[in-house]
Amino acid sequence: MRPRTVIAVTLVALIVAVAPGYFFMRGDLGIDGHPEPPLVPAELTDPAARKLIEEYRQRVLANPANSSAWGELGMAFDAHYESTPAKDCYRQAMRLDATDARWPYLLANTLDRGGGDEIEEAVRLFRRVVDITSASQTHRTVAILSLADLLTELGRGEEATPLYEQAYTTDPANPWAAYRMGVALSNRGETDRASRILLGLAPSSFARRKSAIAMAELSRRAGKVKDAEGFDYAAGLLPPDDSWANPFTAPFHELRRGRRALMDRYAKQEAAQSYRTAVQTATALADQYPSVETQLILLRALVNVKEYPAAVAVADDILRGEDGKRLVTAHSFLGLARLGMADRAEAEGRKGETKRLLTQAAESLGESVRLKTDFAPGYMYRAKALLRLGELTEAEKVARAGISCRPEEWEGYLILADVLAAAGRKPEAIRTAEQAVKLAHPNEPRPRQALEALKK
Amino acid sequence: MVIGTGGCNRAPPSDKPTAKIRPAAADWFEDVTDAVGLNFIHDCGPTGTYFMPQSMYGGGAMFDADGDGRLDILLLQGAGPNSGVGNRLYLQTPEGKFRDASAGSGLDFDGWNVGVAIGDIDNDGRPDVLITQYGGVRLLHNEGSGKFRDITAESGIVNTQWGASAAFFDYDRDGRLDLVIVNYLDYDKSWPCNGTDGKREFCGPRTFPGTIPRLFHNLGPGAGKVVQFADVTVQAGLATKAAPGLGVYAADLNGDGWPDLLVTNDGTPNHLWINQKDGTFKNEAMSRGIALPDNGMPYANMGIAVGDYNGDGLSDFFVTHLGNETHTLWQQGPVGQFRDRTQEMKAVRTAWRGTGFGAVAADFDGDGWVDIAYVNGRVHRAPTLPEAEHLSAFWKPYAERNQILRNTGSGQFQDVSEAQPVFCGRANVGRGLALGDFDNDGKPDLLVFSVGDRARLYRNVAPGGHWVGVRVTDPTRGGRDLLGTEVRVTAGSRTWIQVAQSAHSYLCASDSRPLFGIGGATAYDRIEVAWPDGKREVFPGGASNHWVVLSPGTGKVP
Repeated sequence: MRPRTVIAVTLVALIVAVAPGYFFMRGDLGIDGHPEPPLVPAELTDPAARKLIEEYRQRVLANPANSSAWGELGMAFDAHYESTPAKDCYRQAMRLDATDARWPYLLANTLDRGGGDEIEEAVRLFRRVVDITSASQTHRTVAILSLADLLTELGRGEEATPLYEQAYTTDPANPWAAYRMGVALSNRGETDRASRILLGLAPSSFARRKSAIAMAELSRRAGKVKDAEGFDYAAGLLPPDDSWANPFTAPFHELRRGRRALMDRYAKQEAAQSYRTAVQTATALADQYPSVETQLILLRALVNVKEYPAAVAVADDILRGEDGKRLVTAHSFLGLARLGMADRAEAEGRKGETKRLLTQAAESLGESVRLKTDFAPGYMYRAKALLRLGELTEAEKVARAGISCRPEEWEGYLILADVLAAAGRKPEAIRTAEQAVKLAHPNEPRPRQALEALKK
Repeated sequence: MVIGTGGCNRAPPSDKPTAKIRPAAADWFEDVTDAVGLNFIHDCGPTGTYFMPQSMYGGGAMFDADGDGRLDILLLQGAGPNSGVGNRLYLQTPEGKFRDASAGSGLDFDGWNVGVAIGDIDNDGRPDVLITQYGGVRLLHNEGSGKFRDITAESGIVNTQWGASAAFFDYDRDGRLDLVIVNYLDYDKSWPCNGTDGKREFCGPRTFPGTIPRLFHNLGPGAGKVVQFADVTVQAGLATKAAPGLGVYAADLNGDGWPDLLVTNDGTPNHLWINQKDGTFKNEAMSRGIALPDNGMPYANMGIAVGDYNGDGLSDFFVTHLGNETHTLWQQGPVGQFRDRTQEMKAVRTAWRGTGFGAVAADFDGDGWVDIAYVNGRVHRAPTLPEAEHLSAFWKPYAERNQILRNTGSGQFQDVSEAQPVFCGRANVGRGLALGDFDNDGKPDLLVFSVGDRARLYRNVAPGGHWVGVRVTDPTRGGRDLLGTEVRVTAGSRTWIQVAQSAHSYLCASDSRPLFGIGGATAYDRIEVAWPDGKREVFPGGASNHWVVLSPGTGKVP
């Protein structure tokens, strides 16, 4: 061999010998020429979250050429707010299967959330998803809307507008598309068409509140003040809309594990008044992450579903500790639970038991206001307990203390009215109930009913 | 859990420069904190208890406390009752330095002091001080020469809730300043919150119920009393909506000449209380478009920056939110209607995202367009930024860098924070931000209040631009500043609008004098004024770069 050939062969041999070591050291190459999947970050300490991600990681190690395994590992990271390894996994999934719309979408979604210099890549990726013909129409519509929203945020409304129109024309039943179209028409002054679309969204859990707000604005702009006030009122009563239905990101919810996931789920269930399911979540929280906070959450959940004996057991458990004795809400929830048990005892004719429970309830609620002197619920429910025990002087004092803490709450005035009526001071009771009627919303029937009953 | 034994500032924060600050050719601000002698360090009491007010402190004020024509500075301490850590009053000297005049001022009391409102409640020409507290309130009457007297008890003002921002305004147009106090949460300090990592953390707003604001009607002087107030909250209709209120702005927001109230609420829809002209208010935020951002989500609404961002003669609102949300810019138009224009005005994609609190609007770079500055600081722990090294270990994970959005004209914005290292290069747990021209040079300066950190004064040194400063006073009312006056300055084809109001931003009282950046105009053509009583007057034009003083009855009726 000529010297130059010898040098070349030696260099090639060196590279072949050294390269695997280099990639091994970097951790880029795993088996079969595929990169090693990212490790679970040390900062992620929640055992449940770590366990889930590790399971998905093992699936990649078992089948490193499988794009879905990589993409799903990305989702597992993403579901636990680990965007850097998530992006690496999505990119690898895209390399392995360029026809699967999920991975470029989820990568774009992650880049969009992160902002910064990568935002133009997100725009390109959303466009790419729109062009993947193998994706379903639903998926493509969502990709179009995500792209349009991002372009709007970037101040490129002229590019976004035709995309919204395209999405609405293709899929007018999609609430996301319909809402954007309705708002666009409203902005253009096409009031009638905008109203039709927005009113059509009233039953949609994804857009009922947003559409009510948009209708309120549209009505006020059109000079229809009464209509505006009606929509205003409705929008104020409605719970927050659900996030737009998104088939790309829906699997995230199934993947979320750990304390944070459970806390978020509980908050959502409580806000939606899904109290039964909230108890399950609260129980899981208290079991898996025992602390005073999670016990208090469980206590609140149990009182909400009127599981009073269980609530009393949890409250007793909390109050056993020295720290627990200082917890205002532990005492007040215990008081509420005992009040509820007293109701049941009374309904079953157990007079002695009723009195004992009412006395205990008054004591617990009294402790709550001793610890927090402006704790209005404590005063109000204590007044109720005292009223039922016939301790009217003290009940009046306590009810008035509750009103002074929260003069805006009509319930306080109603409790005081009951106490005054029981004391035979009917004119005062009526005046107090009238104040409750004044404070309550016109659609709230209870103060009016109570007032009518007092006047009879 | 380890409870800190010292206050959150007991080890004074280091002032050494941070690593990532990049020099910029044209910084708009110079940090003059040391140079002027402002040596205030905030003390919020012992850390480690996660007493929630600590994470929401605190405020300060820029106002002329001693009547010498120069802005002075009041800064609040929150270490709690009997801590011995009192508020600090700094009086400005003729040389532009600040002298600690706290001792004997009557303002140097301790407590859980939260926010400040400034207004002359008895028409004696001297601005009085209202301080909101966690569980209380204090009203201090200005006795002159930088001395104040506590008249809370005799005034009839009672507020046992967690007070946040407050504003003086004359809602019934009777010539006496009334008061609104925005309350935050019905906080239960015994509830132990944990962070996502399971360790103790400050609670969030959703753990506790919201509260109602309190409206106090100024009844004028009583028998032997400076002034008396009546709590008219319930009859005024303000008791119908409990919410976690944080920010407040009082001005005529629907063009009928009567002052309305914008209240920002944490995690729930904002309230826009429209004055019904009969002593009552009605919340019309939803149908006027300012309750919620475009996506219908109730964001954590905090500080309010008021400005006419697109130059159409109507006030718009920039409201700060959490770092994982988007600050929202509500543009007004037509009068009394608002629309979320955050995206169109390019205020979404900022250089970085932070949890914004205090926010102010002014023409910082003198180009005739109103810019926005806001201070950031987290409410929950996150990885520490390198720019936070000067802070105590407890507060480091909460610190973020402040931001400035430059108005590029016609209401579109560009985040110039990277190029403004003096104001934006240092991480802090930013809360209060006050605006004022402390050196009367016609350029808006900034006062930053950060939890457990030094308060910082930033002098505006941006080159170029002309300006007009306006003070609106009423000699028949002791020469007091007429809060709520709407001032319009016209130069050529452009008109600028501002309202004389010190209450905006978050927990702070700013300089109430409207200061207009009029760009390249060397003169202005006229000034139109709508006084708080609804009357209007026009004043002649003049050369730019001057302060003018206007009073009712001295202009022409249009």
